[in-house]
Amino acid sequence: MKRFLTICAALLLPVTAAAQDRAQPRLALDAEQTEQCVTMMAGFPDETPEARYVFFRLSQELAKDVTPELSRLMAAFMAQNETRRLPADWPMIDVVEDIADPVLRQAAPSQTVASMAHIAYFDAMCGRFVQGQVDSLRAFDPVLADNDLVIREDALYLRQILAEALDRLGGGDKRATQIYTASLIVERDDIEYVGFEDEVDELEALYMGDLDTKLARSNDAVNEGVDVNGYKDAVALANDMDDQARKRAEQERLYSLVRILGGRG
Amino acid sequence: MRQHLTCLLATSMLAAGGIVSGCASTAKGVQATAFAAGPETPLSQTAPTGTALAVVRYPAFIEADAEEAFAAAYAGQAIGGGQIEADPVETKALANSVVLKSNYFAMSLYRELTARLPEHSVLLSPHRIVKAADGTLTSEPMTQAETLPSVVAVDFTAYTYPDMERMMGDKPLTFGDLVTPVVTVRTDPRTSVGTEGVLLASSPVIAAAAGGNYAQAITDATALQAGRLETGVPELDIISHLSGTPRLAPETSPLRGRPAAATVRSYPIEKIRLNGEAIATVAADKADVLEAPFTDAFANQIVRLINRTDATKAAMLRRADVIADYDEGLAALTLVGSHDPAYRARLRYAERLLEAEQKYLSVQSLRLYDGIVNGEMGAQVRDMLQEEHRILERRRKLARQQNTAVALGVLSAVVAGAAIANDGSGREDCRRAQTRGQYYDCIDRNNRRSRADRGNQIATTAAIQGAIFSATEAMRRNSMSRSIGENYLQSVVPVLNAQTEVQVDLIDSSETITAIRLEDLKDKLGALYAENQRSLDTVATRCAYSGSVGPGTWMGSCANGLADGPGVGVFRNRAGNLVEHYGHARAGRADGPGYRIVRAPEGSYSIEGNFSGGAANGVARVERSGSVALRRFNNGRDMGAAPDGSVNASPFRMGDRAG
Repeated sequence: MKRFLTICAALLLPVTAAAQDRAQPRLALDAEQTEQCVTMMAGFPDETPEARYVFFRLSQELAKDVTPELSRLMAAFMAQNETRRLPADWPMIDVVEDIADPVLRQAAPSQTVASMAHIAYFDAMCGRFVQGQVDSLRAFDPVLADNDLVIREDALYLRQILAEALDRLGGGDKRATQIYTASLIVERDDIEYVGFEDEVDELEALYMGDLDTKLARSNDAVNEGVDVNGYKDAVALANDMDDQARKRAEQERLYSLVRILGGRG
Repeated sequence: MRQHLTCLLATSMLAAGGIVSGCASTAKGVQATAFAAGPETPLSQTAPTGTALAVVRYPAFIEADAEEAFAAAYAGQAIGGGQIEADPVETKALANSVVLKSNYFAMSLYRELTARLPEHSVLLSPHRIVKAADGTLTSEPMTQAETLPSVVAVDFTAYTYPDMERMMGDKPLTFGDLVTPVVTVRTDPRTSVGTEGVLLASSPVIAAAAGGNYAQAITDATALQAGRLETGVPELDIISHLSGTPRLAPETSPLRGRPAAATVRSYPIEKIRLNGEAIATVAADKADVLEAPFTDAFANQIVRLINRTDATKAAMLRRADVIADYDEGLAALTLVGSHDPAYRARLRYAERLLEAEQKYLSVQSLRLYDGIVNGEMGAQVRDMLQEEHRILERRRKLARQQNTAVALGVLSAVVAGAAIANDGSGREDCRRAQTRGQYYDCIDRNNRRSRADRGNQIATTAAIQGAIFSATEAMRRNSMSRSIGENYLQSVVPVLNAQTEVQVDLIDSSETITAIRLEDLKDKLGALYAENQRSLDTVATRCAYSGSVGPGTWMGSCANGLADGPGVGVFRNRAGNLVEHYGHARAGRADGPGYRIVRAPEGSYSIEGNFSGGAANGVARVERSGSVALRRFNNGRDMGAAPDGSVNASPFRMGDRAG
């Protein structure tokens, strides 16, 4: 019960944030759009925070690099193929499954385009709400972010399906498609780099920790071998020599005083 | 007559005492450094990934076979002037003391810089003083900190004049509560070309530092010309000064005020007086006694210099050198970069490897700091500071007593002189009396005068004796003061040797452990890198490059055996000077934005702007010693000052080129 309440609180946070955001006229959504966002977000899985997080993040990743030019191109293909926009309450899991469906990929590339356009439309309109949900879920359980790389990889796979679909529909030579295809290469590089960096991080932590321990031990070993009394003995010797010199000087002072006074007679 | 002789003797002794002991100095120092104190300067510099911001270098050890040469050079090139004929044993002891104190006080600088700069961006580089193959004195790093690129390198030496007898005078001294820092702040010789990369230095070592950096730049350029992308590590500037490395004299600016363009900030030699109360408790609280009077302000100055240094130029060649360990085909391309997406993707991987090396080596620096400051060695140095401070205080007291004795002696001599001047006059000749009464009166007057004269005589003799005693006392105080210093030094010689051995053990064992693991880490990083790379469309190779008179070497992008694309070219100009050209080429000649450095024997200069057909064309920024100016060039000819508002092209600004 406690867990459920925490989740609810976490999920309500972004709604509050979004309400505050609405006060800003430039970013404000009208009531109908807000209603639409709420309806669409209701279509996301809600059994577990994990599932909810995965699909919110997936929707963000799938909408990446969709420029207005590409949106127009996708809309044009949808119109040519008389593909209607998906209804707002269409479950997100079904939208994603449609994109990944091998049969639809082969038989109805325009459906793939329509599904991706649906997600891009959702992200463009409701992105702030989604980001709020993602932030809240991460705050609730930071471990959820560990799935990010896998989500990005899955999204890249689905985005490659969109690029294929656009190509099959004859949009491969369009500038918007080419830019989108180039962005997939950058994304793949980024994902691979994250994997590389993770491995370097691990190596780094291992070697730095190991080195630190070994050097600390080495310092201890060297310090143990230091003659701690050597300096004290040297100072004592110098002090003895100084004392002798001082006594000698006092005697000399006495003698010279006697000599000087004796010289008077 | 006898009295006159005695007075003469007293005056002579006083003079001799004055000459020998003089008005003794009490080894004063300044309470605060000439560097401007104030709030911490914020860092505004962003170094390229895998580049340290500062490396702190210091003399840590003198190799046995270099000891004689070092002691001779140390006495022969003394900072503070004068001919030294000191006892060789004493000179060696002082040399060891310089090394030991440099080790300890360099940690103060390291600590301050690490507190001001981002994590892992400050490294320690202790140096070993050795004899080079040609018999000259040089120094080499004991760790691998300087294999990595850095924006600046700071040389720190806690200097002592190599004659113990002069320690109470005005000579530089690091003893007890006095520290004389000799420092240099250098950057790579590929930047700040007008000053050979020297940004700030203690005034006596400016010329040697500039000469040393110039020599290193020539060595690096010669390697490039031979097709090797490698950068050496310049010796410590104090060693360049001692070993008589050929000097260069870049223009200088005073430490305070706005510096003139392309000049070295000149830091005067100053004896910093540490807080006596802080020294009294340093063994217990391990406080950094150098921080308040010196390091705090000096670290601020270093951060200001880092902010003003062109970090890209400072790092480029050494960075390429390190990248070459992982990817030779990429290395030379990184000098000025490329727009190619494959290159950029690959560079990101290589930079991450550099960063891993930097982080790894920073652990070694932290542990060196820990070993020195928190270990037995640090404890002994702190004990030493306290004991030396006590000795210095005793010598100061003796010096004050000596001065009082000299003053008393002078006073006594003056009194005696005055008494002698008034002595023996006014006796009457009673035989001239004409009556008995006159005769007895005369005898009576003479008797009274004699009594008074005897009183004067006693007073004069006492004054003379006082003068003699004061003179001998002054000499005795001076002699006692000297013997205190000598006794101490003689007694601690074996301890100094033992301590330098401890620090060598500390550094050597640290380096052995670090190096083994670093090699292993680099192998693993290299394997990871190789697994993750996609191919480069353009790889860096070596090919022909047309200089002004003869053929040169190009390291970078090539086509048909000729320089074509980004990279670096090296050639000799008509005057026979080595020229480095960082930038772009087409068909074997410099073409597009470029950065050209000419290593002339009287001092290097650079031209940064657009090039075509191998020559500067258009507006270029020209830097030479004491001047930085925008000039107009036409086919390599300087056509005069560029109009106001002109902007030069640069190969380091990605927007300035198409390729």
